[in-house]
Amino acid sequence: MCVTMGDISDLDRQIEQLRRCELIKENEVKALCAKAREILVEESNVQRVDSPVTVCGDIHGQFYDLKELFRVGGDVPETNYLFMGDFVDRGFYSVETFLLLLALKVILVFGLFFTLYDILSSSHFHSSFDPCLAPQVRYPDRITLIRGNHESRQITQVYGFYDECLRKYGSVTVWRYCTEIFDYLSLSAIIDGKIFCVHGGLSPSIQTLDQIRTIDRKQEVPHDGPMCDLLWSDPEDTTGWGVSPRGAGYLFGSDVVAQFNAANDIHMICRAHQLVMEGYKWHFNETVLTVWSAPNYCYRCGNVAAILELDEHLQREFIIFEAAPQETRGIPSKKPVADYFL
Amino acid sequence: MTDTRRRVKVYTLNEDRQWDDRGTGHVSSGYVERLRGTSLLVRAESDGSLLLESKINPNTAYQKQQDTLIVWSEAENYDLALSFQEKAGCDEIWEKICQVQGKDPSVDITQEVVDESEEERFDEMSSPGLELPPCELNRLEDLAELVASSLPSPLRREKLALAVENEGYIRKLLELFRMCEELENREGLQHLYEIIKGIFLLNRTALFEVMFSDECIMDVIGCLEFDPALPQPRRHREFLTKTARFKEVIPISDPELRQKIHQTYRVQYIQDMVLPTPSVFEENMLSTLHSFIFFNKVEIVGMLQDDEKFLTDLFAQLTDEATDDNKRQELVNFLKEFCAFSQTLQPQNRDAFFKTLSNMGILPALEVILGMDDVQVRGAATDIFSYLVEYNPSMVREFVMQESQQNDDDILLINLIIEHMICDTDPELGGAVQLMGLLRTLLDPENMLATANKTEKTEFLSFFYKHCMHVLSAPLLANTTEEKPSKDDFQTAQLLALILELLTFCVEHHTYHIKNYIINKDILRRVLVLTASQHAFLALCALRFMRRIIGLKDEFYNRYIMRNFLFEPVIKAFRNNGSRYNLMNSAIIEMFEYVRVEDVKSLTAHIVENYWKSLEDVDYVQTFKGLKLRYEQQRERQDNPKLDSMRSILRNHRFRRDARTLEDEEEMWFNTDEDDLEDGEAVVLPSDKMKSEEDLMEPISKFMERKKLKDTEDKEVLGKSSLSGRQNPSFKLSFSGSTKTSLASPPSSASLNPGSPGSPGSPGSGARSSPPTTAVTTKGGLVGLVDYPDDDEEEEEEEDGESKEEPLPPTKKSKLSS
Repeated sequence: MCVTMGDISDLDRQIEQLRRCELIKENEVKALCAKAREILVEESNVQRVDSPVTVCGDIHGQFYDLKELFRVGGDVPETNYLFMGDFVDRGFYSVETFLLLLALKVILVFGLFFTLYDILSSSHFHSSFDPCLAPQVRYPDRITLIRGNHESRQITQVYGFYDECLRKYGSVTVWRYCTEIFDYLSLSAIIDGKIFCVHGGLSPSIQTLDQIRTIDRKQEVPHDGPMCDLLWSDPEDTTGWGVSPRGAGYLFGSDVVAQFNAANDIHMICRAHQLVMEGYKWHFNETVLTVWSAPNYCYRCGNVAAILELDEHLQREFIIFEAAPQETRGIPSKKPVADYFL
Repeated sequence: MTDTRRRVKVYTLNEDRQWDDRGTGHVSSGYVERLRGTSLLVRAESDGSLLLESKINPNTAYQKQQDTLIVWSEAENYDLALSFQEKAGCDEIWEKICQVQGKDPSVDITQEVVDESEEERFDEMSSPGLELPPCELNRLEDLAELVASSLPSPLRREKLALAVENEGYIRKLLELFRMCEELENREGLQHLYEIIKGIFLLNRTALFEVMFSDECIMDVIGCLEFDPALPQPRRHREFLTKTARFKEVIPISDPELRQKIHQTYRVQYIQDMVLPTPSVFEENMLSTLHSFIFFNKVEIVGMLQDDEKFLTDLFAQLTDEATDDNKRQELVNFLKEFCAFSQTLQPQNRDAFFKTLSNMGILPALEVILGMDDVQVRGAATDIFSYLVEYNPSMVREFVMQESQQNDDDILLINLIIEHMICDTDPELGGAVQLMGLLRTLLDPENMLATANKTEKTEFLSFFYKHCMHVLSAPLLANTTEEKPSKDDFQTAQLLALILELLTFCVEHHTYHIKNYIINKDILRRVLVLTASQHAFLALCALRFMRRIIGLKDEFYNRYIMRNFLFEPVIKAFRNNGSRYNLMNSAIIEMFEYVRVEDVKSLTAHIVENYWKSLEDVDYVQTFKGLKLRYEQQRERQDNPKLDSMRSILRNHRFRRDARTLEDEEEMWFNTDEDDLEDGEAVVLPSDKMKSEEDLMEPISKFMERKKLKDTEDKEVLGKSSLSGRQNPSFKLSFSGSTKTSLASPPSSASLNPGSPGSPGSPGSGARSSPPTTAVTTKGGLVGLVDYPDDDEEEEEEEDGESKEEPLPPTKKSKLSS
């Protein structure tokens, strides 16, 4: 697919719309997804991310809380973000939330590409063309999205995203486009080679990061196996592996983490997936961290949310934030049908 | 009892708060000895069986709604409703109920509902009924507060509802609304918003009936325009009066029906547009509103369906060439909405609904409409078609097959659908995606009728592969004649991806037919041309297609892959992708990883022997080293005569299991057959070569006998050649292959080929399915031999697949998901 300046200005407009929590058209969603697919297909199962970066946990369709997150964490592209999945379900605005994140990602890649292209092709810079810039053009990575267990056809049909698409667009087409894109989302990320980020946790079938490379991730989240575990597992104050009460994934203990971290030369595992009332929680002597970014989860849990800021030396700082007042207001549902026969 | 006055439908409320239709019958009341009291009885009109026997308890709260509905609860979470065909009948039964309970029949509810907690009851029982402030402008604030404070408690809600029901309070409120609007009294209007919204949450049909009456509904919507949370009021009435248009495509004579249609549209609008999306707490508080719409729709569909002239006119005009385009567009849109309405119906009503449409000839009508040029008309027709496919795919398949007996392939409905998919002009292929989904549903054996003789699946798949598959794969074949895709624009790539998705579905679900098709048409080689596409998503689809084939662990496929060196394009794509760690890289590695982990010996050997040079330097994963190791172990075992004496004997006779030897043998078979199998029909001997069945059967039966003699030997060979367990799918086909080979070459060759170990009765056919040799003769020659046994096997395989892929119930899986 070829991206033109026209596409970029369309995207700009769509982002403005989405930032106001307004829906974009169905065919715009399709086009956006096609562009996103082009980017995501080039990402690896363990996506490399450079510091400084701000790491975020579950969002769950809480659009106004996401805006609050950007307010306290800094807007894109000034802040580099890593979202660890569960963008949809439960909240009122899964569609707007996911599409905004996707559109921001797309425009940052293609938009930056255009800027650099302009600079490089202008006569002034032509003589000093630096081939080292090329990879940066390809992967600016200002916003990284990895997959959560809710980015799945099966789960979204139960927990709200499917119904929301149906209600807001009058058909499930948009749900289909989005769930297809879910299949392309990366499974994990590694920050500066030292911090492993994943939605759920570890898998007994995975001892090294290289083993994740052998997963063909473009599929519905399976019911078992390594890909399922990465998105479903939880840490548990124990040793070894345990059966997960969720019915998918495993419980993993401190020794498992110690072994994994040593084998892969990493300092810590950062994950989301579990509500923590304080927004974040350490496990196993600060080797595993849970980050949760949906304040007042489901509009009734009363929890605060957190994001983790990592500077270029991987120094940590947590930002805590509370629910945005607009979030609970509910939504005008769908576009009215003007002509009726019955 | 044939009296229509007493004709009723019995409904019960299910766990999802939806009304289930329990059947239609006639209601009566009378003393029932067993229950010791006057009871309501409903006998089914179909067979006279008892649908309902319910004692009228003196304390049960019965509610009369919308003139023809009586609703009550028998126990906690067990709600019942009787929906009467006629108001008069409803009134009669209502009087009876009121008489038993000693109430005046003018009430709409016979008892106060009390379902609050004991504690609350203690607190509030003694308190008198709720008194509303006088309906005056300066008391609106008080009333709004009263409503807000009453909502949390069921008892207070009940009292409030009763108070509002009395003395025409709603109408008085709406008078105030008109006054406030005239005076532009913003504050008053916002109080009215809160009050009316609160009244909706009281969940009372009696109140809805007043609010949704012709005189009141627009003012009610008016009140709801003034949400204090919004900076500007929303202009719902403007939309309803100026923008919304009722289109009466076929005149509706019954004024009651017409009124019901308007009312339903507006109430639906209130539910979907006006009221804020219910939060977690409010979901159940609007159940009565949902029920109101539901019963209205049931009635509308019923009334239209019973009007035969209406539907006859509709279909006549739809298919009449003289109908002008605008009119036809509206007719199609009407039909689409009619189908959409039916989605809310209960299964029995939906059955009746689709049966009616089918009898009216909806499928031939759709075929005509789908052939028209107007994109919008076609779009709506596609939507209607998808309602039919999703509701009853068998009905559609039956029509399609019948049609093929009269028509040429190019004018079949199903081919029309395929062509529309291929020719979608939308750059995003929105329509094509939808059509692909419909085709997949039609091709899904899971929804084919599983009767004793399994005819639907056999018949439909044979039909599809004969008459339609070539249409579906035409764009693929046209685009893959050379080493690179001849067209590689985005739209073509999207279309090919869709076609590949369908073909991949076929690989997973139609083992036998698709296998023939792929091998005879060399489809996999063509598909792999697409790995060179500049569009990664398409290249990935091509890879996935191959991966699914390998996943079947079918040696017949594997030999096809090896013979044609089909890993070549994969390796090429892998090399071309370079050092990039992306989806392509992972997908290809995963394919080899699968071969390694599942220990597919033939492919392991083939890969290492042919492509090791290209793979040996890949050390960032252990996959390829592991593959090599497997290969070496395999070789070691083969080379050690003590481990496998039979092997070494065979090798000494040049008969060792080797891809190349197989290749020659099968090549012969394929060379002879290829041209005759163009249509992708079952593997049968070409008729011109089949002089007579006897001619053919003769060598076969001879072969069989020779085979039996060799069985002992086979047993040993097979026992040690450690074939994967899931050999079966290939074997009958290979049998036909090796059979034919055996006609020309020494019979012992069959035993050299562990992938085609001979007759179905031989031990090599595995434990799972070994149709006796009699199947060969009873099914009528080679056709039966090749076709039917494998079809049966396919059945088994699918069952296997099913149990493996049985999804976790979402509820279980995600109970705690967050």
